[in-house]
Amino acid sequence: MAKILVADDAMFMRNRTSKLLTANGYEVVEAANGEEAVKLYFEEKPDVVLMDITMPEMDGIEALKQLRAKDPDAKVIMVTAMGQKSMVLEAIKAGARDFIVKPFDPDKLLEAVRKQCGQ
Amino acid sequence: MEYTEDLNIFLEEVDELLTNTEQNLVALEKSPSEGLIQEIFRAMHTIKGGAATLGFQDCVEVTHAMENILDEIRSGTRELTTEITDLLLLVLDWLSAWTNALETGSEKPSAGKVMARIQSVQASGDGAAEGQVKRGAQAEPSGKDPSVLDPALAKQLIERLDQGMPIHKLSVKFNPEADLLSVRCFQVLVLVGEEAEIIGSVPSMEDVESDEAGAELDIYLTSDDGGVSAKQVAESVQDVVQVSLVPFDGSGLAQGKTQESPADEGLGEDNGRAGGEDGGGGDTELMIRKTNLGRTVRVNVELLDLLLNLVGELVIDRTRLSQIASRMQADEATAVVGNELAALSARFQRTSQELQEGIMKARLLPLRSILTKFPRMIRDLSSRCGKQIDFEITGEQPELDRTVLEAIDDPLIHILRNAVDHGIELPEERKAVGKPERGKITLSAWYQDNQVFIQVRDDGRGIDPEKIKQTAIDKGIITREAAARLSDREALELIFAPGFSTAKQATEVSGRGVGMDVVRTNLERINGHIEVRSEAGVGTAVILRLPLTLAIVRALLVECSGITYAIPTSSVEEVLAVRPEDVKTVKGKAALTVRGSVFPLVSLEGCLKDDPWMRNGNFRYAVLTRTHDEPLALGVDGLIGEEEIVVKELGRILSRLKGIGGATILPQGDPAVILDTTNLV
Repeated sequence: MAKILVADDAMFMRNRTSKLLTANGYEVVEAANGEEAVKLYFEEKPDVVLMDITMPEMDGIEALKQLRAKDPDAKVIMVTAMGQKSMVLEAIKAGARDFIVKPFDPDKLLEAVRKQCGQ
Repeated sequence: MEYTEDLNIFLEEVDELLTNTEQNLVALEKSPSEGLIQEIFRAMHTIKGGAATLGFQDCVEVTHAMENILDEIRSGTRELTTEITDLLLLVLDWLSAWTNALETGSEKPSAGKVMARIQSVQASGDGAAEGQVKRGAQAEPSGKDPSVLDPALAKQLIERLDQGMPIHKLSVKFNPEADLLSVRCFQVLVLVGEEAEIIGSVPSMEDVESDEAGAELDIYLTSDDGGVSAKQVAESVQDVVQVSLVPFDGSGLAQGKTQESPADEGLGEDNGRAGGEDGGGGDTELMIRKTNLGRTVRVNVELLDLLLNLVGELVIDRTRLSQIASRMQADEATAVVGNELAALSARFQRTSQELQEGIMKARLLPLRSILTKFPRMIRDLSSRCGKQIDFEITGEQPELDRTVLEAIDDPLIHILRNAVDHGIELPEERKAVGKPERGKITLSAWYQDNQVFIQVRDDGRGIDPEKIKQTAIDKGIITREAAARLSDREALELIFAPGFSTAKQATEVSGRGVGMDVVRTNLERINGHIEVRSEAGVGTAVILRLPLTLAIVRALLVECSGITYAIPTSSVEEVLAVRPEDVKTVKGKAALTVRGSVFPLVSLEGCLKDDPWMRNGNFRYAVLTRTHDEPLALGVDGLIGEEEIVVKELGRILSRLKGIGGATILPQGDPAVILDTTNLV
């Protein structure tokens, strides 16, 4: 069973995403900000990270950079809202494997996750 | 159901975000900081995300537009003006009305007015505003015509071909409706670049980065596998609808419309807003309902009240149980069973104690929850009366029983209003006396001795005892002679007298009618205490002392004509043994003089019979206490002791009785009345 780290500062979004993922057989770890995401990543070794961009403490891009610096194979999918183009671009440059745009279609999220899990 | 639960979490979160944002806004006005802008931006962003997911288009539009404005401020292309702060406040108000409507199921406020304001602010910007209000407006500018190759790229391609290098052209088509198309293009370029060498693309990498991308992308590449793996990764990217791969031979540069194969069926169609545009969020969720309910539950307050009441009964029973056990232990015939019962009773005691503490904790709410509205209130009030005031909340964030919180909400509003209206001077007045023009009001809170203290302090003009005395005399609250005898401190107490209000006339800010007497009465009703300290010209501090909980109080048990009464220790100042010679007669009435202060001595029994002066000073003990405007000595026959008692509410009819605050059940199982000394006489 693949393990997914969901990093989002909005409890609502975390809840929703986790629900979707657990219902589809994934194990989910939640982080409420970038800092927590980085810490949990190395503790939990998830297969894929779903990373929100706008978060307190440390934003998703910085977290992504830190992850990739220590683990170049980190598979990170950025979760973004409309209007964050330049940031997503930066994230892709920094090594994010994919991105999904909020509000997302559950199928799309699952598809993106599946792809990164190599399923 | 799923939908409702999602909605509830969303609404709770929005609530919290709105409160934070309001505070941030007020702070921002005082000292603009990037961090605060970022916080506010983030709040709008988060609300937008949730609203979009649940399909609340109106909320998405408002928050998105606001986010754009904030983004411009953040990036320095727009200045933060009061117009924008006001707009933000308007948006907050709208959002809270909006969430309110969702919570109560009433009609949602229209976004029209707010949007109009936002648009006018946007239009008044320096032109840098993108004006992206609707998501439709977000469509990326269509890219350069891919059929015309850049001469530099054409040259490179021809060079490679001349070297005999096989080149393939990978044409990628995206769903033109997809979000962030240029980023998708970029993603494809990055991924394809990992599988093949990219010679060039139309639009180019640089164009894509600067947003010059449309729904089509041509990549010229070379790779060992003839571009097959590149095609595969391109097909796997979201929003890609068609990918075609053809060998590029340089002939007919760029006119290569080739046979195109659908890449990923169906993908193009439902590039969906999850949940649809109009609140149909439940549908898509049906298949995924499962687990992960979080670590908190919402509990109806009535249930908590009931639980607390039941625990109260247990507390009473546990005392009786241990008494029965000791009686049985004392008797030889039942000693064995008595020992067992004693052991059981000890366990019962521990468990019920923990249960009691647990339930009390469950009823605690952070003081913060009622404080959050104050920064905004002070801001509004001070601007209305032309004052400049910094408001600060400092100290710990104690937690209090929700009943206590409810009871102090109005008093705090009143005290803060007073500080703004009467305390802080106008800027010019302050300047004239050498104070900074901006006044300061600080609210601090802390725990001490199992109680919570809240202090509201201002650095305003302070209260002038002489003026207070004069007002009290004018209003007939006190005689001139009595006033002359009062110390400054006693004079301050006059503001708590019924009918007293220092304002020459009720102002818009301080409101009308309600005076400090009501504030004190309200606080005493919850066994709280209020005290004012002030120094003319320096400022005023109002200090509230509050119990953590109302459900269980320490009480002094006293006896009068064979009946036991409970007096909350919070209202007991001192207990004295009374010798007949201590009782003096002042103006024909019995009084006790304690260290120079005169306490009218009344009979507790008499108070309850509406004849306070009966038995005129013939008591063994006196309990020193105060009604809401003066000290009082209650004459009683006996002191029984101090106990923790569980407060039981009396029914609606009995609770109106003068001087009675509730009832309790004593350890022996007998009921007793809990006195409310503030209105005994």
